[in-house]
Amino acid sequence: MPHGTHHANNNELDIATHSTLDDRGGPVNRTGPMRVWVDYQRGDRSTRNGCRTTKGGSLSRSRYLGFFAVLLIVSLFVAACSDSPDGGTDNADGGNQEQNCDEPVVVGISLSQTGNFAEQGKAQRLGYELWRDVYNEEHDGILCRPIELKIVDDASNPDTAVSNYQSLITKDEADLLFAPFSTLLTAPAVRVAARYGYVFPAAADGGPDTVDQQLPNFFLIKPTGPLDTGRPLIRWLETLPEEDRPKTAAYAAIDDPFLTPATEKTRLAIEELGIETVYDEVYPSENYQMLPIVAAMKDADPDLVVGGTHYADSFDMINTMVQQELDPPFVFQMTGSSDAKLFPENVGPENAEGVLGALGWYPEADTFGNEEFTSAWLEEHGGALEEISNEPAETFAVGQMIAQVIEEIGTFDNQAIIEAMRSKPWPSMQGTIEWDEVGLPKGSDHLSQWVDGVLRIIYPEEVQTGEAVYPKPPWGS
Amino acid sequence: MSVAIYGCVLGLLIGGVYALMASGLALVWGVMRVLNIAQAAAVVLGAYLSHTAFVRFGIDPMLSILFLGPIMFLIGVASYYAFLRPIKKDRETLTVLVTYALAIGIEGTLGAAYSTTLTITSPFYSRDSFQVFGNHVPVTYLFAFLVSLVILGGLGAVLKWTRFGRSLRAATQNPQAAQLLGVQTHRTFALGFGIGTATAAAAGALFGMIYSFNPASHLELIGVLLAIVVLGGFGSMGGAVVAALILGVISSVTGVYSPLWSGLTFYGILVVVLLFRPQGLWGLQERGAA
Repeated sequence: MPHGTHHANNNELDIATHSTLDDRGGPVNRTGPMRVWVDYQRGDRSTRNGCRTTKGGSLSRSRYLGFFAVLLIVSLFVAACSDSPDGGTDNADGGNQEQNCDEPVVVGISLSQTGNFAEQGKAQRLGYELWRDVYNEEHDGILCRPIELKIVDDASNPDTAVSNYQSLITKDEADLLFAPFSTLLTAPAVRVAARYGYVFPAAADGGPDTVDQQLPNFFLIKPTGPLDTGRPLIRWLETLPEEDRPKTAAYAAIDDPFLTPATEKTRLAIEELGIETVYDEVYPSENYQMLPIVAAMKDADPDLVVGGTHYADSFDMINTMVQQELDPPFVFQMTGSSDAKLFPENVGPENAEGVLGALGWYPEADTFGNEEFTSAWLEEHGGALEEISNEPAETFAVGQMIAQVIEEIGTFDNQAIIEAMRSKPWPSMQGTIEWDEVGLPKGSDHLSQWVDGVLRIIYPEEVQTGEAVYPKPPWGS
Repeated sequence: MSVAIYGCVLGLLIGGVYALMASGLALVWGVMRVLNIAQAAAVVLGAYLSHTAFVRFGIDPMLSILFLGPIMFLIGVASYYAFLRPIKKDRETLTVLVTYALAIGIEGTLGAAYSTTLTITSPFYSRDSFQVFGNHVPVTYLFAFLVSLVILGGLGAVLKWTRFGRSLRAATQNPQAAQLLGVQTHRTFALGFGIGTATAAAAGALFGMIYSFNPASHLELIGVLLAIVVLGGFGSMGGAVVAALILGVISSVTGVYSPLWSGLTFYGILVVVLLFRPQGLWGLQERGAA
């Protein structure tokens, strides 16, 4: 039917051909009953008050408003119906009934595969995919249902992450949701999950923007919160004899929502041990100059250097310290120095010796399900045990934790999962985890140190894989 | 005190590299009245290409300038004809948008081709240094400074003593008069844009040895470059060089005492100078301006 054809005696034709808005997707001229109603309305109004429609017989403004009002009411009705009384969807409530072993359990995840967090998002994806494969093959899925991952890219954009989760819940009818990477994305996404009653476990997050919302469905699946990265160092220093402890300390932290406050918290705790602060500065996250920072630290002559570092700046700091011959007896970095592969590659194994770091998970850990993960990883990806990086291990641990809880309580009901997780400590690949009221873990990371070219756990004693070496060997040893 | 002097030395050396980056921006503005927002993205592109040449083929970043410069020159000329020449009206405003789009395009392409993780080019001499007041100055800083000086000197010589340079300077001072005297302005503009892009790439190869970078690094860098060019006086290459050296020194000395404030010094000084000398340190005041 060509556009623009006008037929005075056929209102249906009028609407279909001249109402452009409706042609482009409004339901008005697509559904029979609605169309009849429209025809009736038009005829009635024309007859009643002689109100002239616009040229070609398109709908008047008031009628559009009428349609939109009806559409709005219908939409609200549909939206209201989609939520269960307790705020959860049928899927989130899902499954107090007998499990259908043929029906897959859909796990929805928004992961950054492009943009700023693509690197971490891709690494996390490997962990989730391995978890799916291992659990489908070795555990017969979860409660006999095969695991199906629905991973969508959020381009590292918070708005996209929110709409992804909205879509995973309403369109894909996910049974479970896992959090994206970074607080930037998790903070808005956790609200969507909470609104629909989903538990929202995260592999790497726990920043103030997320936990300050105090939502009951958020759980960080790690041994410690992001602001307590320095805790193992503090606890280890406490165990040292007074005369062996450092007397002075220098702190340099990158300007970062986690690392800056984490370094600050560490400094305050270390000062309480009587260790004097001789340098304390924050540097920009980009285009920083490490040389002036290290020169100033060298001028202050500290016994302990604490780097609130990420990755590139961690390597940069060590390389610059080597170059500037700043060689204190204790060097600790929040992130970077505990990377089994990248750290020695970037600073040289001879300069890694003795450097301390914080480590949640490590490949040799004798923890719940760790052997299952590491052997599956090596089988799938090859390489050496000590080369397995944290991100896939941490995401595998998320899947492992949720599967474990569901198996124990025998239901996919998200509310029941939340209650079960809050009820007691749960074992994991990263050690036993117990959460506080905002979903942050109460435990501590492990303290790592490079000894004889190997990253070892030196604290706490019960999981030690090597003896601590202090003062650290000189650079280049 | 020795640390402050050390900061001065570092700043001077880094300022040289900033001068090279900013010279292209000043040149393009001077010749074409185009504010090339993509200049910093071209620097980052140069850093990545040089990094790739080093990692894949073991080519020293400073040597890579020898082929990166001509390649980026051609890309610059092609970009001029493809994106800038078609703009006929409201040129000064629209070119800002077009070059911003170019910058975002470069960032996106680099993001897809490389990871978003910060990286740095580390040739074998990157850990070597020499002493200044008990502190070590990396030789990479010295080399980067010297290479920048050589390129800037060469560029200055071309502008001063060649026919092409005279055409460029004529087009800078009075485009209409230059055209009347036979200067082919579009050709001159294209070559000017090409030179600006080539200097950015050369500076990028050196920048990549000193700073960690990722595809988004241009967003912060362009602010610094604009501060240098505005401070030096828009369109004045000499002014940009001196401004880069001054800002480099002040920024590095500040970095010794407060790293977080170091980056902000560029803008703080810029505001102060503009309050008293709106045309910048070496810029000419427009006729009729207050």
